[in-house]
Amino acid sequence: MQGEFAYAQYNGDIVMHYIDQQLHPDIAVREAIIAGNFDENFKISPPNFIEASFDKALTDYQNKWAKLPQDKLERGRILRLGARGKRIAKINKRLGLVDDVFNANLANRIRDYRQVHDLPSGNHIDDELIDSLNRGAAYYINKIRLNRHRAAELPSNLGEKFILVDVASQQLYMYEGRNLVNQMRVIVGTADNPTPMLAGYMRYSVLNPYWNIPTDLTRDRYARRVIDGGKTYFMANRFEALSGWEEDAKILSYSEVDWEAVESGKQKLRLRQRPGLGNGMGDIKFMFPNKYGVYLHDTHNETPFKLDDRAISAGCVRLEKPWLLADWLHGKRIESDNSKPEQIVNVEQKIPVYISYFTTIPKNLNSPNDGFSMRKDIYGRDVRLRKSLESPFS
Amino acid sequence: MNYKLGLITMLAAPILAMNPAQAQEQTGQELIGRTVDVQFANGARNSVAFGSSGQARITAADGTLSNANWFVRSNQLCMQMGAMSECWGYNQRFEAGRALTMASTCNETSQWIARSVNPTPAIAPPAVEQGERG
Repeated sequence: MQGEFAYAQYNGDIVMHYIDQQLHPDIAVREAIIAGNFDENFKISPPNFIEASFDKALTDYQNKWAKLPQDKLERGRILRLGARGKRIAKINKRLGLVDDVFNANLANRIRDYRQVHDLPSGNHIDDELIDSLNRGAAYYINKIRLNRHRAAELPSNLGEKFILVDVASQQLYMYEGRNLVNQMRVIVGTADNPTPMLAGYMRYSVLNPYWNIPTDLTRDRYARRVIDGGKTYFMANRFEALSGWEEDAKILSYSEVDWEAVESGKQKLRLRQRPGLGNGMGDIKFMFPNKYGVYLHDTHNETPFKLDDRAISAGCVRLEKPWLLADWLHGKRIESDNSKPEQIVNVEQKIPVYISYFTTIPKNLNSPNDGFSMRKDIYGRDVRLRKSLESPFS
Repeated sequence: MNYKLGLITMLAAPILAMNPAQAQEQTGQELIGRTVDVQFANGARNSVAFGSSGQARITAADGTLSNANWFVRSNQLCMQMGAMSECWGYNQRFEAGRALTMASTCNETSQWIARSVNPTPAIAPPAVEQGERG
């Protein structure tokens, strides 16, 4: 049935999942109302400030770039100020200018274009610029609208303080109202283990955490490593096998576990890693309990934060500066004076965390005319979202 | 919907008697991504596919396709097509295969049968994954 397909998409990884229903903006109703202008008897929540920023930036973009001739240009050698000829005349025309010389006007126009489209800065003409111009304004407008839809999945009031994790840019942003007060690099899930889009309230932090490994990861990744590495590997990695997920679960010795059965899936095993050096959660984890097992946490392996592409986790979000987040969440430094595992510190304020995925977003949400950040669609979600929005039943 | 029907501005009462437990606020959640067959009193038949962002696609018996918008408010299921709109009393969840007789605001009655529905969402607390994915 046609509808089944649409529902599969609706429930897929292209939409926001609400851990706390209070954060749901009721988008379906709101969009229908907007489309139909049904304003009587309705109290429609205003757009959140990210949506508003998208709207302003889109209007500016349309006025500045969409009205220009959208002629296709040929790629070629790099051209700089002072160049002249037919190719320059075509590029001038494409950018709304008339000349066959690469003069200061064209240089300024190119500089603007590069900034708005998140291309490397400069005023030269190269194939990257030509490719972008050839994609045309319609391409970018569609991309902006698609990402505006993602902003509309967030509630009208984002919160006095909130955390925005943008999986596409692999960054975490800490906001107080509309003000960005801090940001950091994060590591997100691989394309095979994508970090889902989630909205929920941050509940508590855990010092000296265990890493409780989900049973599918134990089966698919760690059982084989334990079989190959034996007890030495098991002990060196500070693993503990447990009889179950209950509070009073019994710790099993290495030899009490049938590791082949665990790997084959015949036995579901609770495996955890003791706190301390090398723990998968580092020294602190930030919890907003959810059915995806996705959280924010520290790591003892800081090297990957230097990479541009940091989509390497099993779905969780690893933080470059976890203590910066902890200080901000709790309003003070939370410390442990002992080595007791799993020390819970509640978050007193109601602080939402939004994990979203913006492949395009205004560079400065408070100054939407500064152009857009363009990110790689690491999970291929744009195509699926566009298809779902344009043709929900096909 | 049979869009040859007149436009409606007033809420009509649903035909089915409701017990108090059923008389709860409807959201349309069960219809998202699902198709409902509608039979009108004059014999006309349509099927309506409900999209996830308020879009609806209506297929007439002769295969003609129309696009519309849909939304739910105050226990009315409303369809809007261009400048026209029409609402039906909607006081209970749809169930797959079960006919609901619904009255629209121009006192037209029609029978609605959902081919399938979405399950009732878990409200709280949400299921929690055992473990952290890392």
